[in-house]
Amino acid sequence: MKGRKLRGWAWALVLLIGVALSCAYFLAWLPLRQGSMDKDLFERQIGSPLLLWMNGYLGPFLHLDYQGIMNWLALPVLVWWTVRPPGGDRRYRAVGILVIISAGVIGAFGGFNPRYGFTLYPVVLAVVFLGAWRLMMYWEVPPRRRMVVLASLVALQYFNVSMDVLYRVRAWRIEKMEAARTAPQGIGNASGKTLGVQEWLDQAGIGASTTVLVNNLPQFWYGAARKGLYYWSGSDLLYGAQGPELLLERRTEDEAAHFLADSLGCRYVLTTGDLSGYGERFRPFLEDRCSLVALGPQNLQLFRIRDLPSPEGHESADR
Amino acid sequence: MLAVFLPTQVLFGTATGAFLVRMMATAKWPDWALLLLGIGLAPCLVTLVLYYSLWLFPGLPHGMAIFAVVAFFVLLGGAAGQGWLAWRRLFLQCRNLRYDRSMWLFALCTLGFMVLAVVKLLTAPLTEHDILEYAVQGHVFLRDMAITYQPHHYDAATGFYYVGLHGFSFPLLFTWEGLVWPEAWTLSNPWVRVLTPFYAWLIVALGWGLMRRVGRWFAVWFVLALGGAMGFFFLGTVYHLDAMRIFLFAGVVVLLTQAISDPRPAIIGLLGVVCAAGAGVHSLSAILACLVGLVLTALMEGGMMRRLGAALCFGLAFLLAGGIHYPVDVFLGTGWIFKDIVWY
Repeated sequence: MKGRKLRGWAWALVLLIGVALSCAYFLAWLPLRQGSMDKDLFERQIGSPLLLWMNGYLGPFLHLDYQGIMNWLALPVLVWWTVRPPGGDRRYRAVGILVIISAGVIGAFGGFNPRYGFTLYPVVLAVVFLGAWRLMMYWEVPPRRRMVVLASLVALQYFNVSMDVLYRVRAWRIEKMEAARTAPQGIGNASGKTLGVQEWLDQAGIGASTTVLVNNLPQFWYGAARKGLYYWSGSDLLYGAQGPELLLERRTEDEAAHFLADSLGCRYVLTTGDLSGYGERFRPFLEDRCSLVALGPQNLQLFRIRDLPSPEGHESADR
Repeated sequence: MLAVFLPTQVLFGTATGAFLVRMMATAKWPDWALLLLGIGLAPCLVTLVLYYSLWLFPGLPHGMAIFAVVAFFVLLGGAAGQGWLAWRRLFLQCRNLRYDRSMWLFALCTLGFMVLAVVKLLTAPLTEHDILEYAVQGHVFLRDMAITYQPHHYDAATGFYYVGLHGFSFPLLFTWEGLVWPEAWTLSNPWVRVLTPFYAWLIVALGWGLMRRVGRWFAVWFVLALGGAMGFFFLGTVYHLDAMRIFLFAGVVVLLTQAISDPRPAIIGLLGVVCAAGAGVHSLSAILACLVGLVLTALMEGGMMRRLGAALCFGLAFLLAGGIHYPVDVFLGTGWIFKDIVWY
């Protein structure tokens, strides 16, 4: 590689590719609305085949929203260090192989979660910088120009993050509008939003011995000794001593309501509008069999399971 | 908050750092990097002692658990010997750095993290799902003073079901805070909340220091780029375990490069311990630890016997330093990842 020169136009092309990629990603590829996408895939930003590859399988390098724009530049450096490490130094090869296989494992099994891909971020960024530096040393780029190259990399990173901020502001505005449109109406106790979770639950009449079906909200238990049933609407699983069991899929809504009220002694449901949306059958259950009794902090919603005629034809005891 | 921060990060952190300097006396690592690693490793060692105490001696009184942790670090500090002098050298070096203009940005960055931590402490209690799961499980550990392996982590008293698949290190941080400062829960666990910006700062400090070996201003550009991703912003501001495990993984990669060229038992053992510290925090670090072990044995210098010895040393250090949680959980507990996993 020695003897070659860093050509200004080639470097400008790399930066232009970065700018174009960032613009396409945030302005065209990353959706602002869920539309017909699965809610979970939309939230995880892997709702289209392109995004599944960019943010999922190749997430450690191409998840521009989370990882920034520079990580893909590490790919040629990692190949270089693995195939022909500088000076035959095994340490470069070790880093190259470790990052490549780690990125492969994370992409294949944990690509749905950008936090997992981010594990490699500081190391990958170091690979980009050290690789660029090493190349510039080979090519005998003058020190001042080396700084210009590094500064342009940083500028590219901040261009990308500014695109990211613009995208998030637009998404936030849309989310806010839609939340206002779908917000539950006519609830008496909306003042609970300013209280702490435990204070609000106390005020809503949930005592230490009141059993509540809790839809994946550990704040219910945080800092208080309460009695709950751990439930996750996204997979319709109710967690008990014997492990998880399906709540709604194997029961009609009436049967589920009776099961909760009569068998488990549970008359209340704690959830949020967002979390309820993950369950295909959970939201209809709330709408058909429960009444919203209080809105709380952190968008919490407390429902009460409506009175039902018992299977034998008379009302159950707790009415 | 300082009641937990001062003993854990300052006293235990300095003792761990000094011990690492002593242990790695002949390695090519700069003292400051080992001291940083020591500060970052100390909370993990606290949870390691708690893990063994609560697992092997269920129902242990609170005072005994605190005593076990303090005794461990007293022993570590005592064994550090000459390593303590590294702190003095570091302070002297830092005095000279004030004339280095490239360090001013680092000082500003450090100040920024301190302001961020204080603002977050005053305005942002714990509200995110994952960290609340760990907090509630940490409280269950504190209440029962016992760690048990069972197919389902179901708390019959409250109906809480711990869905986490990872090692118990992070919940045990809450347990530790509760042991030292029982009122922590009423203030939304300030010490654990501080760990998020604290470990993000440690990542910056480690990256800064390592890149300064290439060039002073090179380090400045690197850290500016590091902070220019949305993920890094979340890393330092959203309460979670990520900053901790990512700092530990960065440390693992640096240690691996050392172990490849200088595969002495002390270095390989330390590599195993840091891998286990990360694994205690999150399952992903346990999986990556296996890859680290493979890369180490495949690429280190030496013949087959030396490689096997290194693999054994790495594996033993990993298991003893907390990695044992995973095989035990697979065979006696929840089955870890070898079951139908529900994603949240």
